[in-house]
Amino acid sequence: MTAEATTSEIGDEGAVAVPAAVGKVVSPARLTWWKFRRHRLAVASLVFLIAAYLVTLFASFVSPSSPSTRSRYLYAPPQSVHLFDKDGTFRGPFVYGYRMSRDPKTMRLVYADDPSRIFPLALFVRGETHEVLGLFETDLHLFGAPGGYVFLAGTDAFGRDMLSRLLHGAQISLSVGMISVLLSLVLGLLIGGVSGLFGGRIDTVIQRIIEAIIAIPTIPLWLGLAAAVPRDWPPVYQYFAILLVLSLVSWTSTARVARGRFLALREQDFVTAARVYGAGWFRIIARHLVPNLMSYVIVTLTLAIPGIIIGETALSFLGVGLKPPTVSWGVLLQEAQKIQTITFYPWLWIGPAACVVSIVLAFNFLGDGARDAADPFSR
Amino acid sequence: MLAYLMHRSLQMVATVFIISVIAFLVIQLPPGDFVNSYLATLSGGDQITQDAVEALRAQFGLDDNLLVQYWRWISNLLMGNFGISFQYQRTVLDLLEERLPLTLAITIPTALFVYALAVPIGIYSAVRQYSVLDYTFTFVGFIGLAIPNFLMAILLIYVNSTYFGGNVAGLFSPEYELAPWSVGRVLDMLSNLSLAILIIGLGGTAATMRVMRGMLLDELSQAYVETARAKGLPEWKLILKYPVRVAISPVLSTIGFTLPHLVSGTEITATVLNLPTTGPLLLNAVRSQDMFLAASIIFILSVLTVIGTFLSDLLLVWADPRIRL
Amino acid sequence: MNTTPAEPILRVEGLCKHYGARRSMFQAAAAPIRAVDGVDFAIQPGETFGLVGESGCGKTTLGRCIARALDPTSGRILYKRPGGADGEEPVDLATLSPSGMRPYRRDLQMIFQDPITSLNPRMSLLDIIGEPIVINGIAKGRAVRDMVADLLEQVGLRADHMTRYPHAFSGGQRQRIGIARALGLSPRFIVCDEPVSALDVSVQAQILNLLQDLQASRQLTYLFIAHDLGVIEYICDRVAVMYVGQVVELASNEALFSRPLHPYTEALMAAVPVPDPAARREAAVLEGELANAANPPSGCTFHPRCRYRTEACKTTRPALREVVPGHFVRCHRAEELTLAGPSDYVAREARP
Repeated sequence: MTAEATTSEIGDEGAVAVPAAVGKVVSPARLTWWKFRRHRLAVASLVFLIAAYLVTLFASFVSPSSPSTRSRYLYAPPQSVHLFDKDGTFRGPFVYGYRMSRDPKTMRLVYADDPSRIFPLALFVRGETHEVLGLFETDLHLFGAPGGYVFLAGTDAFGRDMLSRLLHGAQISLSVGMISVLLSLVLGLLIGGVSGLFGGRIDTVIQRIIEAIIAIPTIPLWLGLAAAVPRDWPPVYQYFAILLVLSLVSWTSTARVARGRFLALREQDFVTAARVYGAGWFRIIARHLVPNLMSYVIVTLTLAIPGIIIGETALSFLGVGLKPPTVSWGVLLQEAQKIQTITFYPWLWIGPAACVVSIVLAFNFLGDGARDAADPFSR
Repeated sequence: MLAYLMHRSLQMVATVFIISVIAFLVIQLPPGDFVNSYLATLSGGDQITQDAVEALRAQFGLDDNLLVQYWRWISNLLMGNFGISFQYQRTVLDLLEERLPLTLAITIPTALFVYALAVPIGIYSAVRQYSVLDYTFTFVGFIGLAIPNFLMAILLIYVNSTYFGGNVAGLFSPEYELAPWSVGRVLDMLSNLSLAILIIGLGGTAATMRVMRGMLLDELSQAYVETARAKGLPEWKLILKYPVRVAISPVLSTIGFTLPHLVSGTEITATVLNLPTTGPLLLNAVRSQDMFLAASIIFILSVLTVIGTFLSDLLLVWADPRIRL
Repeated sequence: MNTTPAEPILRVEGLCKHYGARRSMFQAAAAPIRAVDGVDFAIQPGETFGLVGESGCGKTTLGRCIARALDPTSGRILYKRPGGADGEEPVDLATLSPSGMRPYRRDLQMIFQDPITSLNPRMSLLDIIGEPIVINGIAKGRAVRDMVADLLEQVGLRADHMTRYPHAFSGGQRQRIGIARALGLSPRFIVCDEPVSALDVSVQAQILNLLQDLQASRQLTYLFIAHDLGVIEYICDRVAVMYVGQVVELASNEALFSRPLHPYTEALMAAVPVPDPAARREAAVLEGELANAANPPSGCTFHPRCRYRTEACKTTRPALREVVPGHFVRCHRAEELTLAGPSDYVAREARP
């Protein structure tokens, strides 16, 4: 959680020779962690997010099928997992097959449980081959219904499994947040650092630019910038282009925080001391300034991730961000542009919406806790 | 005050200048120029000669260098000439005049709604810290922050159509869609607009409420509050008279951050709810790479935001003589 | 200027530090702030040279210029390494480039006022004290540990504390850490910038005694900055009194405290509380506030607050003159005034 930049640069070989300290040595990082731990909700959110990212990493394994595999069950609602059949006999976890019919008036497909067809669920089943982390291929999946089908989150217009699509979409949506935030981190630290360290005219110009960017309503700006992304680009290029567009706005908050901290730290006596004993600028920045502002920057970044995830979702939802066949939560939500989909097939948007909201909520809680813990020396 | 006014106005001019550069970049960024896009929109059957293309380029001055193009664009803009939307075949100004009022009619009431709601709730939450209601507000606030405007809009459409059988999209309900103006039609429009205001305002209220709560909590721990209490002032009177007055200025001055968010929210919510603001117009412009229209909308929205912030800052300075730079 | 025969370790000549006034679009460029405005003095090897004045008088800025934590605007800082060759010319630190300054960084170190901000909270004592040693190439690896352990013990801390972080220490202990950090380079000259001002009185004495012990064992020279006259009288050999960026009086400790020659010095001394409720003294209290360094008063900068001022004080700026051998003062009326030192109060009160 905290920027552990406090490692000693002085001879490791002597580490054994240090006499065992009488009391326990408490590093600032540990203090921060103790403080963070008091914020229960933030800790829970951290656990949740780590789990979410892990699942996302192994999305192809966790999901029962690939995001593009079609089935004959179009617009099928989510199946529910049962333990007992209609007679009350214990069957272990299973799903019922669909009984399909067509509404004679609206011509829509209507689904009901078919009690005669029971598909038991099993762990570690063989299925489609997929690549794990781009390293090796396997046909093993976390779960499935051997001999049947399982759509725990329903299917879309092409009969594709929504759960698999959600999990694969998470790879894009969650990584956009992370990478984009790293980009903002670099940009923000660099620009904010220049602004804070050099001051003067450069500072004024940078501050004005930041103010102007903040004053521009984000969605319209994003829309305008996203329009520049050529439609015929391959999905990977589009992904990075959108990432760049999202980062172009979010670096400003990092830059502001970095600048403020640089300004404050520059005046601290330990920096003066370092200059007096001959430390160069690079060393002062790397060993004295950056470690002391990292915790604040991390907090800002944590609080910036939700905005970026929402940004990607919103752009893709509006059809100017990522586009099919790329799968992201925003792309999935494009379906919800049609009123019919919203009302008749709610699982198509409730799934991705719930994912976005829960991830954003978790990041907000995490940021809240991190903010309280950022300065371990206050109170 | 005059010096502050001068300083602030010049600052605003600088900000507007940078915004104009960014908006101009938006025009320039798409690959190719808009004559290409323009040609792409024309019916495919016509064969357009190279000469005609060059003539079009010359007409729009696309062969000049960037600085000249920027200068021509910005000077035209300042004269009120926003260029032509090739998609709609109308002047951008025309389109803006049609759409902008509704954007303002949603954003301004939303801003008022946000502060009118957030300030009292924030005060209550701070004064009754850790009470059941405080926790409730905090919880609802976090949820409000986590649900993006367009998802909230989708949710409301769903709830409305599933449980009430109504349709909330559009400015009017179907029965008033083509009806002449009447009291019923106005009320219908207002009810649809209030839904938008509710959706957009929720996130802003949640954020502002947290700021108000934090600021007031800081003030409540100050010694002067203790002193006033010792004098025997009634609690509520005391809180409203001193700490709230101190805490409220920085809260109101967050409008610089809130306003862009609200405008942003208005545009995307309007797109989902199909309200004829500049939002759907911008989206269309962006989709068809009608870049003059897109950039003008971004520019106008941003400038209005800056002006809004400026006006509210002035009000704040006028009301609170402590803030003077 | 200094008449003592021994060659000074440090001679400051006409040192100035002006801060450029912030220029905004709407204000005409304001006058620069003259934080230090033409200071001259010389410090002998092995002595403790005191610098005293109200906060804001420029004494900290002066100290930081000498340690080259700040770049002086003009003037010279002539440093002569003690024990150097006889004919060796002193070096002007004021004009050295950062790389040229490097060899002298080892000789000139600084101790800071604030025990909280003077130590990097994210570094262990080993790194705090070891970093100067490492980057100046004095020792490496294992040897640094031994040096740090030794330094910690010299300043009265335990060697096994070196893995701890500053937050685990009290103000006085943190000040000792700061001293150990300065000592690591075996400096000849240390600028002590109010090293005890932030400490409890009981701890102050411990730190002062530590500084004195170290001075004796390591032949250190101190520039000791303080606003507390009691501390100055306790530790300093010679004292310079600063007012609005200039030295207004400079004398040996005894001379200054027995017979101050500048009205400002008198007023400072009168402001020191005497721990005797029966003591009554004539008020020589300072009226008004410290003059604005951006726009100092005409004539003698002290005249608006001086109770002995004449018309001449308002128009002509007095020069720093040697009135008694070794006793310099910047006052037109130094010869005619008879000012009271602290001893006078004690003496007067002793008489019934």
